[in-house]
Amino acid sequence: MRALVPAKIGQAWVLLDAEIIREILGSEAWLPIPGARAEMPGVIAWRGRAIPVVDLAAPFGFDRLNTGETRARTLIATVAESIVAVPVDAAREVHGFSTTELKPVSVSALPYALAEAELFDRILPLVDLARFVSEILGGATPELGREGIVIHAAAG
Amino acid sequence: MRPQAERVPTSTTLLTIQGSDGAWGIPSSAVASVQRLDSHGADAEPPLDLLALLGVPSQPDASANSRVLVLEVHGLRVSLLVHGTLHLAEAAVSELLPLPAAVQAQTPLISHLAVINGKAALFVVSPERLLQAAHSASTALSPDAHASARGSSC
Repeated sequence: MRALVPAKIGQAWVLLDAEIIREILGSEAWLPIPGARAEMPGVIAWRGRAIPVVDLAAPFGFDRLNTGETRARTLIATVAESIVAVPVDAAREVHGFSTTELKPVSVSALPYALAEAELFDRILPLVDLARFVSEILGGATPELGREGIVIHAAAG
Repeated sequence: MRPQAERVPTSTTLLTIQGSDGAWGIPSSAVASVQRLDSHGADAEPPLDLLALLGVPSQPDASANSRVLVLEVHGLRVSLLVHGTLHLAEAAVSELLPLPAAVQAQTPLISHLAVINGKAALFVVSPERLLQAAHSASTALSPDAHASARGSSC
C-alpha cells in the first residue's frame, strides 16, 4: 500500500506521498524573498528554523501566490534533507492505494505527475513532490517547460 | 580552580526599517550613524539604495521617511539610502533563524529571518555582505548603471 494525501491547489486535486509530509498546518503567513522565482516565493518560520515556501501552483499554471496571500493549509514536507512549506487550498485524510490502483499517467497532463489513481469519483494525478522540490532547491525546473495542464478527469 | 564563565550574547539589537516594500533589519552594532537625507554631506559619496542592492523592485514614495544609514564594519564604511520608519528592536538569538542554502542562493545579502511572536517578521541584512556588494558595485558599475544603483537625492 502507498499512503497518499489528497491536496487541492486552485481547482485541482492531486495526490502527494504521505511519507514526506511531516505536518499539516493551517494558513501560514510568509515573507517574500526579494527577486524570488514564482516556484519558491518566500519563507516561513517553523519549529525554530526558516524554511522555504514552494508553490505548486506555479508549475501547474494556476494563480501563483502573491505577496500577502496565503492558502488555507500548509503542508510541511521533508525532501532530500530539506524541509519545505507547501501552501494548498485544502488537504484531506491520508488514503492507502494498492499498486494496482495506481495507474500509469494517461489523462493528467500535469508536470511532475508520476501516476494516477481514482478518488472522489475523479482521476487524480500523483505528483512527484520530492522531484519538484529537489529541482526547485537545486535551481532548475526542467518540467516547467512542458505544455499542458490538467487536472482531473471524471472517473468511469 | 573553576573556569571563568564566558558571556555569550543572548540577543541582538536590530535597526528595523518598515517601508512600503517590506521590513528589513540591520544589526545596530554595524550602524555608525543615521542621517537625514538633506543633511548627508553634499560633498560625500551619494548613498546606495538598499532596496536596489537587495533586488527589490520599488517605486520611491515621496512621502516615505528617507534616511541615510552609515554602516561601518572592520573600518570600512558605506552609506545606504533607506525609506520607511526606523525602529530599534531586540531579537533573541533564538528568534534569528539562518536562511536555508537554497534561499541564500537567491538573496545573498540577507543572512537571517527574524521571528516575532512566532511569525516570520523581517529579513536581516548582513552588513559584511552588504559592504562587499557595495564595494563591488562601486568598482564594477559603469557610470550610467552606477547612477541607477545610487539613491536619488530628492
